Amino acid sequence: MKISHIVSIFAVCLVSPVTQVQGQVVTYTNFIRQVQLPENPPFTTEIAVNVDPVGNMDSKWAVNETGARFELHTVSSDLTDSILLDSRNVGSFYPVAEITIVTQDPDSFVPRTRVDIPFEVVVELEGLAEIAAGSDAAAHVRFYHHAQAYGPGGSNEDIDPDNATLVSQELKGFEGTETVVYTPSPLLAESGSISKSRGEERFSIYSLEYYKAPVARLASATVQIWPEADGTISGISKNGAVIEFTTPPITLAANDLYPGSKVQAQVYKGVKRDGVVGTVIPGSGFTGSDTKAWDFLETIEKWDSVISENGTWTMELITITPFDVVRLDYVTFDVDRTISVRGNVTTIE
Amino acid sequence: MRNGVVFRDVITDEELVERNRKAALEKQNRKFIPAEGEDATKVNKVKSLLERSDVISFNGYTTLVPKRSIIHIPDGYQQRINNHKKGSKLVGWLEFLRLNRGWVSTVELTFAQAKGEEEIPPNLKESFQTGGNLVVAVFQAGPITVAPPKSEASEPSETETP
Repeated sequence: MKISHIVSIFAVCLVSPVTQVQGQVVTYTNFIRQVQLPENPPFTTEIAVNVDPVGNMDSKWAVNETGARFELHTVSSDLTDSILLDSRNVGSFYPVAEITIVTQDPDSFVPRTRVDIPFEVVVELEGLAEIAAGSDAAAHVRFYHHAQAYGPGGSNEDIDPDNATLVSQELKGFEGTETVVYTPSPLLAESGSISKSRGEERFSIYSLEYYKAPVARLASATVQIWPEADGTISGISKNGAVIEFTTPPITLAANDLYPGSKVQAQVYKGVKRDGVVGTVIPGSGFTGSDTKAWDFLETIEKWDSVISENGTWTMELITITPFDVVRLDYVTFDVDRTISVRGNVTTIE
Repeated sequence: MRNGVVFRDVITDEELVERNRKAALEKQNRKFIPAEGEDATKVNKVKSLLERSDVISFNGYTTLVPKRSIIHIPDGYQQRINNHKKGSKLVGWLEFLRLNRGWVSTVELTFAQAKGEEEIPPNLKESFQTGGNLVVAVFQAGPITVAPPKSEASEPSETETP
């Protein structure tokens, strides 16, 4: 069977990141290549595809059973860095596969979640039945699940994806869509603490070797896993402090805050209660890195203005994330600013 | 809840382990076909684009083309190949060609010629080898690698640039 068909390629305009290396501005430019399969180094046929930042065009040649690979690369202007952003293998004996990772974080371009929030992996397969022709190889694809920790304080920039650990592999042979819910892998735990997991999980689909079509990556998707934050309020005793004069300086410290989340300290009248919207202590609100977990440390000297009357008060250090509001620490204290005058009246004859 | 959003304290390792254990129990009935064997993600890696490209630079602009797509380099233009200058702007092929028409030419090949299945006609070869321009082989306007004729394809030809 020889079926030739034309594929349409689509290039997505990515915002070219700009970085500075030793004071020099480095920009990135995208390139698309079409590679004839099977490869035949050093004579592999390869063509630079000219396509607008957003647009589509036909394949340069009819893609037959051996297939072709379309690659989207981005290259730094100083030619020191080249990143493969995406690749797709197409051919008469390659099924169409897609992996989509769905998280509860709507704000991120890159799929990401927190260690306590599960995520969905949606796999779509199409065309396996048509090309199977009684072959086990063509009737299935191989599905891989890899995990890789970023290390203490690390991010995706600190790893070599080639060093990821294979968590599992399985064969998939359905037509249509399958959705599986995953909880973040314990392989990402930092120093044995699962709540401090920090890393990424990658899901990939590869074809099985069949006829003239070599094993090829059909789809891949990655989700970032970020740790649970922790924090402390210091400067006020947690054992029944009483503030009689001015408020004491307090230090707010938080670690591993979720990317793009907000941290703040708030006070409200009364003992600790869940879900209270209090008065934010001026100078305590901060939004950190949008691309990795971040830490926060701030000392606030004066916060008298938020204490309006005597009584029992609670201060909370909270973080506001796309998923929830988390109380990192709290302290309950009494305020007693009554002026007492003790004296007596005497007369002298 | 806080303004309709979940409000909670920091989760502990023990709570998280218990939560994951329950989730694993719910998933244990999922049917799947386990697989064994070589991890395909570790082999057949796509090589860096820079390793597979030649660099053409001139007058503050640089572009990348597939290796073996530059099929003629006049003596005076060797310094413009694989000699990227800091600060040059990296652009796509069409933009670079538009800016450098004066010294860069293209020759449109058939797919079979590029793959070495058909020979490039001698008069076509002669025309670009005697001209004074740098010549890039293209297929439908895109620079394409040129393999030597099948009979000679045992090793890289001398036209391959470093």
